[in-house]
Amino acid sequence: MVVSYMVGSEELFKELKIDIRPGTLTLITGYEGMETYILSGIIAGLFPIEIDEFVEPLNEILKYFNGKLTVHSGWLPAGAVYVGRDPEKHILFSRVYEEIKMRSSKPDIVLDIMETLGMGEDFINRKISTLSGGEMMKLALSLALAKKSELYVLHGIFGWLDKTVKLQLTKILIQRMQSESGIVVIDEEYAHLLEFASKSYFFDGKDIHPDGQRELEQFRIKISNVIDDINALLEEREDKNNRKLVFRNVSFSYTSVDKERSSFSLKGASFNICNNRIYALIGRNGSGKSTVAKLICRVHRPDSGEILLNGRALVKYTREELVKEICYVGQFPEHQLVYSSTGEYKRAARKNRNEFSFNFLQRYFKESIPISLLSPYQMKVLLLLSNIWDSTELIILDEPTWGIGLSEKAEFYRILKEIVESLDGVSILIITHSSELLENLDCSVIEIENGVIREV
Amino acid sequence: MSLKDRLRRYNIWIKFLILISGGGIFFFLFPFLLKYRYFSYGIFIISLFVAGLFFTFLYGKRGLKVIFSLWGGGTIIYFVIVTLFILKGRQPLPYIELRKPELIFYYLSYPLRLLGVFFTGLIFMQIVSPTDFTGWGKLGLTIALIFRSFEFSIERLEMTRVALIMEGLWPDPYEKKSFLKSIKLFFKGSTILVATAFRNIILWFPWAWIVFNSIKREMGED
Repeated sequence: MVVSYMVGSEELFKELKIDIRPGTLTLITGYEGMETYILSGIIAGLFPIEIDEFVEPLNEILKYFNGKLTVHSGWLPAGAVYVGRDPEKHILFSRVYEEIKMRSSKPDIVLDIMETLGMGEDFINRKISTLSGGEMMKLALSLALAKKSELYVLHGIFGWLDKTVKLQLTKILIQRMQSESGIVVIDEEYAHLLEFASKSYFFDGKDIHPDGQRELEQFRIKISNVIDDINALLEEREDKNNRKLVFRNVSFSYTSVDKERSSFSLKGASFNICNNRIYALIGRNGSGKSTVAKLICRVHRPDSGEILLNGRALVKYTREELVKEICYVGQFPEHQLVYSSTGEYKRAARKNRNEFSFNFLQRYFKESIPISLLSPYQMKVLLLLSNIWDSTELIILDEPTWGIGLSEKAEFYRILKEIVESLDGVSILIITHSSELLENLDCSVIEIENGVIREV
Repeated sequence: MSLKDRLRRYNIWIKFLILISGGGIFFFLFPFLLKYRYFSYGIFIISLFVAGLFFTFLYGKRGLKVIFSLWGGGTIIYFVIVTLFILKGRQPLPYIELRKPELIFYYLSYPLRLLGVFFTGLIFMQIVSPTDFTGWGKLGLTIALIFRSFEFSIERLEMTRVALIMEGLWPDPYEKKSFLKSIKLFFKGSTILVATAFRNIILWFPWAWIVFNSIKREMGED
């Protein structure tokens, strides 16, 4: 198909040519931002929409939704099944069984797909708010894939899924292709799909390039080089005898915090994080990776056992001290960014006498931009730079490159490298599903499975 | 089957009845409290106790603790203000002239009535589901979306509170700080909390609305 899309007087896309056919898989990767959302929405038939009246605070976002679409030629089904990056937007009800009952006339098929994706019957009665991000995505996918459609558009979903689920999902997609459905995957995690794709494109935010393998390879090399640099830098300084963080027999369950999540528990977890080293925390969806991060940041308190930071019990730290020693960048930066503009962050850094952070912010955010207008990549960078201190000893990155495009991934790691260079000694804990990232990192791996932690 | 599941299975109109009766007993009973005194005091106290019991079954002891701490904090501030009103003899109701003892009774019973309304409202929220409204066609689906937005905003509020704790902008539950410092941080953080939650809903809503429309279309096709 060949399409153009006008937003006001601006030509957002000019004669984009994408080959989408029944029974084939089309892969689009590269840039990630508002333009990618619009592109996926156009392919899925969500855009344009008619808006009678604009609401002031939403103007900047809504104007992209009701542009003028011209289909010059080719196949664009009227109603595709669409699953986007944020599974919460696909969930309408409060509980898993309500969602299945109301959204599908074939609940058995939904349950089968859920089972295939690793969600057993024990999930049926769960409240949606108690599901982890990955579990919520699996539910959204099960509901979507249970429907028969000429075209399935999946945007940014693979970053949510662990390795086993990715393979299972790929199998389901192949089955759908065999039933003559077209599949479009827009994702920065694409390597495992390449062999099944009839076409792969590189999207740069404006144009789409057929057979963009060369561009992709260039970015891959760039990312790999920056990560190698970080590895080398830390290797020079590595001090295995200096234990920065110690988890000693830590047990935790949500029973005291949230009854509905009582099935999850961490059982006697023990591991160490040494000075100047990168660690990867891996595990299946809902295994408790983010809970470990929250325990380190003292959002939760262990039921038993202790956590030591630099040999001192975490409970003995004041919050002010913790803020200066641990930098946490969550998977969803918009949940963590509490000021309304980049300018306010700079002012806060000045007020807190955090010159280290201020100088970085000044360099990367010269103008004051409202948070609502930042791209996911800019939000991550802002969060990283605003939470960093010259005294930071541990950086926790929860799915650091989730939701950001390939070109921006390289830039994100370059900024991280700059930070590591400027600090005397720092350890990095990366929580990730990305096998690509794990292959690049020379790191110690900590795996969490069924509440048990082991160092791999 | 748990009590929560049992209550959730009731017809939406019975759930509304629970909500309205709670509102009636706790908020509009006041003139009767004056007229029938001990009899209505009894009804009021028993209803409050039963509502509190149901609330504890549904939300757990932790939920009760949270509601009591919020209510208790608010009540202390309320009493400071209301003492001035009582001393000045300020009439609270435009349609009824209260004598001094009744006026004091009105002002003092207010937090308890508010607690009852809290209990009933939150019980309703726990037992009602967006699916209850889907039988009402398009309007029902729209109510379901509004309900989801409400749930979403509550979840976001909690996430933002956690982010604020991490950044030292909200009282840390695991750190002993002076009461005054915590209160100061609480008030300072509250503004940011509300503003951030509001911004996140604005960011979420347009896409949620589009996806909701496509879900509506899919449900129609199914």
